[in-house]
Amino acid sequence: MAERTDVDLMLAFQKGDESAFSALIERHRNTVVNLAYRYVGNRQDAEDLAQEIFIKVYRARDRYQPAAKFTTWLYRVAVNASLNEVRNRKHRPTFRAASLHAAPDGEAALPVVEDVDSASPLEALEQSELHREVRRAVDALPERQRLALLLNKFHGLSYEELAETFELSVQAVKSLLTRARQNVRRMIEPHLNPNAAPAPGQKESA
Amino acid sequence: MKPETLSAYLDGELSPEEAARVEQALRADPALEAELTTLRAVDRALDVLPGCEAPDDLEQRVRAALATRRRGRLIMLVSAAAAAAAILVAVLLTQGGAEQTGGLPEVPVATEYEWEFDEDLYQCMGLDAIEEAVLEELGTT
Repeated sequence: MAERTDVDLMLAFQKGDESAFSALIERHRNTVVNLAYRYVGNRQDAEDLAQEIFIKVYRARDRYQPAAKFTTWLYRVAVNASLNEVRNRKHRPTFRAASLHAAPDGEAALPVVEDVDSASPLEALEQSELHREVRRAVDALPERQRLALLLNKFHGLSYEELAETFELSVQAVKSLLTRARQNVRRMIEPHLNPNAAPAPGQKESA
Repeated sequence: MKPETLSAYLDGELSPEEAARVEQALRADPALEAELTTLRAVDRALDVLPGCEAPDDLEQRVRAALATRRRGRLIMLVSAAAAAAAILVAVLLTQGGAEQTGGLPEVPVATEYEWEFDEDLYQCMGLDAIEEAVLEELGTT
């Protein structure tokens, strides 16, 4: 039997098939956790946020229309949950938010960069500094810029898909991404070595 | 050239005609070429942000949180209903007593009141949860 599509699963879930919801979580949990992890910068908050996103999917199931691509709808739910999470954080100063309290808590939460290609401790150090600066720069972005940048870079969303996800025009998405890149650039430029960086060519798809 | 255009070029989001125009401009302008190289380096630098695997028990956590919140909402719903009933009884009793003593004293009533929906307050008071609980109990789950 052919594997059920996301839309099939979502329609079954709307009719009360709980196992379809389990299958959707299984299928998309790494995508959601990856987005959340890069968004908040530490694992524990990322897992909490991913949990919240799937709770929203559960509760919003009746609003899903099969005409929409499931992943676009999922990303829209994820974006709204992520933006709400930030709003809630502002009322919870103890939240382990790298984005709001980059140091010292956020710094401690940063994962170690495993740079197996480093030829020397100096290069490893430079790489680890670059990682810290990139994390800081991404954390400092306004939330919508950060989400748009991550969805474009790591989840391969086109401008059209981003426009649908954020409910913006393509032109507004273009501007959002440009501002995001300019802001990141401003913070990390001293740590860049443009000549060592070939064009990325393609984006990671999950 | 607008920064948006170069950024869209980097993302492969321009039409073939627009891309050709950008490439022509890049050949003619070393400063623009350098700008594109920097933009590419910024994009590549983002690769240092690691991803991570989802925890194995994510589904159990989601289902446990859903069950806990559903119970919480039901308790809140019952409490709200009980409070509303108590207020109603109190009002009825007061009115009954007032009628016997010749009516309630006249209280000035605002003739116009602009009511604005405050989502924060709504959520803070748990009214969104009550609304969801009511909808769920009415058969949406």
